[in-house]
Amino acid sequence: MLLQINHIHRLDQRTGEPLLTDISLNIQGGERIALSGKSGSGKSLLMRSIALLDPLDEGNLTWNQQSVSGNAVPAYRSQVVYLSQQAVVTEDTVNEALRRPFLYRNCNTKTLNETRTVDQLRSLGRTETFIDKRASDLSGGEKQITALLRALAVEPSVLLLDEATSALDAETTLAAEQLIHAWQSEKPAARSAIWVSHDAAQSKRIADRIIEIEAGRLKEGT
Amino acid sequence: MSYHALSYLDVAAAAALILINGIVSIALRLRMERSLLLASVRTTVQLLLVGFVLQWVFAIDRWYVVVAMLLMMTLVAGYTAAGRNERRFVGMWASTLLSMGISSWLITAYALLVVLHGIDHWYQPQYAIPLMGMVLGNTLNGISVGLGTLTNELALRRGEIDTALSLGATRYEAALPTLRQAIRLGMTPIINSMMVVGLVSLPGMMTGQLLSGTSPIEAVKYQIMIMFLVASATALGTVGVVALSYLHLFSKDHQFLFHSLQKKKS
Repeated sequence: MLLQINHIHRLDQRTGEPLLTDISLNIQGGERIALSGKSGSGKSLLMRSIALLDPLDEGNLTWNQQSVSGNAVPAYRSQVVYLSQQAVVTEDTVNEALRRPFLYRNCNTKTLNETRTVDQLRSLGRTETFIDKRASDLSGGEKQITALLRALAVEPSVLLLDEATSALDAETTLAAEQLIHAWQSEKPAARSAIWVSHDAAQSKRIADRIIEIEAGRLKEGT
Repeated sequence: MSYHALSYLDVAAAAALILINGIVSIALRLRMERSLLLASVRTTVQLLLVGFVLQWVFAIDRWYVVVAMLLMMTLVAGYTAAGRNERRFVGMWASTLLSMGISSWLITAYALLVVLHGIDHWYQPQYAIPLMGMVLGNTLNGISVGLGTLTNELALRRGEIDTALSLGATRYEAALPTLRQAIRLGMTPIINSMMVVGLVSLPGMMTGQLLSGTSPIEAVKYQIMIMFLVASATALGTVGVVALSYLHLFSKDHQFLFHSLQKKKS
């Protein structure tokens, strides 16, 4: 697999200020990338742009040599899944939340692999009763766990983790890192992960390629 | 049955009742005297003006005068529905005016050409203007509630919508729960009034016909017609404004354009 980000620009809609400037990146199968930079440097914006969640002012994305736009976007997003720091679980239970993507036209030929999800849940130190929890009882960290499992369940090729483990305790964070590492190792040529992290130690653990962003530009040599 | 016309003196006798409001305001120091005066003057002047205009339109009885009048009414209704909204986006005015216009004109045309077939001519102001007025007045509420709910809920549910999109939902799948809610709420008031019409209050038009000497059964038939016209126009208008706004707020690349949804500057 190959994801190419070609010269993307983003401007602030109100002020016209540049938010992302001429960003180009190639992401190949099996890559473990950390995106680092100060608050407000454009990390989240870049991640959202890679998921095409906001309109780009310039530039484009190609996925396996195909340019992504229009009605190809939803299928692309189920391959390149963005996980935000604010995990949103609006369904009644964790179970419903996990099954939600399979209600979408894009994914409705697949179903939730429950045994696999339960295994992943155990690796994060939770038991299978977690699946029956009410969404309204979930803590911020538990919502992040739910969102992570839901993202893995749709079997994407790229995970965009935008501080997606920020509300987890240290032990569960490590377990989540290992879970994603193991997930990538199952199909090394076809699965990549990009992490946004404020934690230098975490970046070192999870990534073999570190990309730095400063004021909306990628730093030279990254 | 005979119809008793009011003289201007009779009207003045009714207007004198405003003194009750004035006494209440003065006695309790509500300081509402100025607004009471203004409201009284506005009621009288506005209605008299409309009366003169209608008198003229009725007398001239030309299709283009009636159509121009209906057009004016539509523009004012559309302007009011959109202007009330707390949020703004590019395309909001066009979406509102278009759905207001199409729904009310279609339904009023159906009423004039099909339901009331056999009237002298389709643009007969006696029918066209009050029907359009009632249709617009109610559609305005539906559109206003639908648009308000849609824009507020979309802004509140940004996280939920982006999450759905992130997991491969199409823009329609991501927006659908909000679209449904906006349409449902837009249509609720008219359904509620259909539930209680006649039990809780007699509708204004029916009351008017009764006062003018029409037999109750004839007045009721008209009222039933109006309720269905209004209900269908409200449904069309609400669906229209929600659908058009959705197309402005979600891009062809299946993105929720949250940033184009701005709060009205107060």
